[in-house]
Parts: sequence; structure tokens; C-alpha cells
Amino acid sequence: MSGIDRRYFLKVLALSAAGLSVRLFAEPQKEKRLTKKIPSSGAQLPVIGMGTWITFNVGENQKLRDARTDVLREFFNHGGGMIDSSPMYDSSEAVIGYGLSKLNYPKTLFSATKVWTSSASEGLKQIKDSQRLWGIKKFDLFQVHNLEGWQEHLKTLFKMKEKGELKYVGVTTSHGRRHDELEKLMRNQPLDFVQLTYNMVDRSAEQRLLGLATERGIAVIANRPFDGGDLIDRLKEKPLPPWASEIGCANWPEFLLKFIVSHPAITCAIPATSKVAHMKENMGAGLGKLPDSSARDRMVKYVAGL
Amino acid sequence: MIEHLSTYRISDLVPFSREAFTSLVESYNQDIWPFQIVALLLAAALIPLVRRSDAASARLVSGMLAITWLWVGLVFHWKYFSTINWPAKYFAGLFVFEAILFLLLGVIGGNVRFEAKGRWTQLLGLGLFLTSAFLYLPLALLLGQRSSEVLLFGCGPSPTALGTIGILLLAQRGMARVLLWLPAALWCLVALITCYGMS
Repeated sequence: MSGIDRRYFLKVLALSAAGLSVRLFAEPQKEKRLTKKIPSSGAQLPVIGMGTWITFNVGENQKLRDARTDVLREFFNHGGGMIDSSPMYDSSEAVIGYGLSKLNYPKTLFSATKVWTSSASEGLKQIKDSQRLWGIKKFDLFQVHNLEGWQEHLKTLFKMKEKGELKYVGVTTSHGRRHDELEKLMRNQPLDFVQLTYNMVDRSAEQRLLGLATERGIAVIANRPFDGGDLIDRLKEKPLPPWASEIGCANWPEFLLKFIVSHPAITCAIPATSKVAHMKENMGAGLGKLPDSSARDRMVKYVAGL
Repeated sequence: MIEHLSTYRISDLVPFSREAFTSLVESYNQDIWPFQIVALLLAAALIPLVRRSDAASARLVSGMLAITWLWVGLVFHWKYFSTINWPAKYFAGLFVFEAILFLLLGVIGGNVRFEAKGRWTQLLGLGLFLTSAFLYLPLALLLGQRSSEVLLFGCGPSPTALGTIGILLLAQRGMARVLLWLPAALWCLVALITCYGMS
């Protein structure tokens, strides 16, 4: 072997050895947390948030409040963002505030609550109450709950946004109710967010609203992702499809949530839970890849066939 | 509107879990102890009073029932239950209303009188009252509940309402009895819906 060949050979050998050691000793690549863009601002939001209907309504009970704080901790440990609540959920806002203060208000928090009253003056009081209960002055998102009194509340919320007291304004419906009215609002009001029910068995929003949201640049939050828990109860004893791992799903919550957030118009889903183990499963849906449209069709057909 | 109503399930009307409700009842029972003993003694005192037919005893029964409904309304519903269930403030109103009715119709008006009834009516009335006042706890324990999770007559809304319905079965017929039955029956319906929604 000539001198030059030997030097070249040794160089290649050294580089190969270096590459091999990097591969052996480097940390495993962490799956990327999935986020989607909020159209009106361009900010990124994790696709899996959390709801608090019933699950966080535990009153003054210290033991239960601490247990819910553990659920919040798990949520934030997995990079959680949106927490959605409402004055309608009784003590949920107070319990959220309790937990957030124990966890020192994690930076990834995206605070979302609602105004739930037909009275404009009562609405102002509710906004102040929510600020006090959560322990935060400036919410990310305030929504008009079930479109109740939207005419007055949207005026209040848009004014707050103008003054920099609020980042985003939205409205909510659920269970497929008042879609006609919601459509009118989406066409005529400069909404940042809408919240509606969208899941594997309730896809009525696909007919008009999801397309309209994309057209109008409105972020969409999907509530009742497990149909109030009924979907999980129905499916938990059934086997996942053999191709579930191809779409990055290891359990039914991931399967059901990934279906939802893989729709191009959906910004995030907000499953609710009172259990740390279930929160871990839910947050698993916010990692890895999302099914494409043909995989989504397969998912719907599989569940329909069970 | 009707289209929207049909999309509601009973569980949509119940904003709390069984876990939250049970914890609330345990805290309530712990906080009011030993009022449960007072309530049991009150219930025991009602039996001989109801079996007498004199006006003074009847007024005493109405007065004692007014106190129990007032307690459940202001303490259980207003102070405790409303922390996890916003309609509880309205339930408190219902219970206070019933207390006022017993005061006006029974204590002041003397319109609630007791009389000897047919065997089946006696059995039903007394049976309902004795079950709600004294058998509620043993039955709950048999069904696997802890004593701290059980609401008793005079302390909790459902046994109080059931016991009241039983006592009113032993009262003379008349508008007073009908008016006093209504809030109790309404509560029983609410309780049934709540239990179903929690299940």
C-alpha cells in the first residue's frame, strides 16, 4: 500500500470509528411533540390539551385537589399546553388555580376559559372571578360558552384583546348543537378560536364548520374527544388494529386522539381525565406521526366494524 | 330548541363525579358530628308524636320537620353541596321553602293533623319513615358503603324527603298535605336523576 493510500485508509478508519461511537453512545432521539399553528398569530400549540369538565370539580377536598395537581404535573411533564375550563364546571377553576400555583405556573401553560352567562355585567364579574381563581391576570383564550349572550360578551372580549388583556377570543358549542349559529359567527366575527365536538363517532363538524375554519383562519379545539368517555368504555376491551403501530398508536386513547388531531383543521383536542395514568396515555397521542387521510379512513372503518 | 334538548344526556346535567360527591359527604359528616345523633333522637321523638291526634303534638311534628328541612337547605345544600354543584343554591331555596311551609301551615296554621289510618297506609307511611330514619345506614353498610359516606334523616336531603313523605301519609287529607308533599316529591325526582347521572 502506498503512503497516500495508507493515510487515506487510516483516515477513513478513524472517521468510521468516530461515527460508530457517536451512534453507540448518543442519546436516543426523542419523539417530537406535535404542535399546530394558531392561524391568527402563527404561534404553535401542542395538539393535546386537557379539559376539566367533571374531572377537576372536587370542591375543597385537599386530598382530591392534590391528586388533580398530580394530573397537572403529568400533563406539563409531557409538554402540555392548553387547559380548558369554565365557570359552569363549578370548582374546577379553583382546583386548577390550586394546582398551577403548586407547580409554579409552568411556562407551556395555555390558559383557556369561558364566559357563561347571558348577562353582560355578570360576564364581567365572571371574567374577574376566573382571573382570581386561576391566579392569572391575562388569559390566553376567553371563549363564549355555548354561544350564550355572545352579542355582548364578544364586544367585551374583543375590547380586552385590543387593550392587550387577552390574547385570543373564541366561542364554544358541544354535542353538535347550534352549528348554524356557529357558522354565522365564524363568517361574521373575527374569531381566533372555535371549540366544538369532533370525534370518531361525531364528525358532523366536517360537513361545513371545519372547512370554514380553515378558510377563515380560525383555530379549532375539539371537545368530547372520547364522547364523554363512552368511546373508551366501548372500545377498551377490543383489540387495536394490527396496523396501529404504523400510525404511532399504542392504545385506544392515542388511536382516538390521533384521529381527531390529524384532521388538518383541528388545532388541538382537550380530553379530560382525573387519573395520572390516563393523562400519560392521552399525552402519548401528542408524539410521533399523525395518520394521513387514507389511514384516517381505515381507522373509521375499523372502529365502525367493531 | 327541542332538537337541542334531545342531544342532552342525563349525565350532562350532573357536573360532578361519584368520587367528588362521596368525599363531600364524608367531609360534611365529619364537620357536623355529633349532629347525626341529635337528628336520630329527633327522628325517634317524631314517632310517638305522630301517633297522637292532638293539635299540640301535630304542631310539634311540623316544627321539628321545619327545623330539619331548614338545616339541610342552609347547611348541606348552601354551604357544602353548592361547592361542587351550582344548582344546589336553588335546592337550598326549595328546602328553605318547605321549612317555611311547615312553619306556616303546620306550626302557625295548625293545618297538619294526624289521624288513625287504614292498615296499609299506616304500614306504608311508618315504613317509609322508619326506613329513611333508621334503616338507611344499615342498608347502605350492607351495600358496601362506609358509614362516613351515608347521609341520614335530618342531615341529608334524600332521607329527609323520604321520611317526610312517610309522615305526611299519616296526616289528614287536605291542601296542606298536598302542598307539603310537592317539594319532597320534587327532591326525590332530582335525587333519582342525579343518581342515574352519576352511575
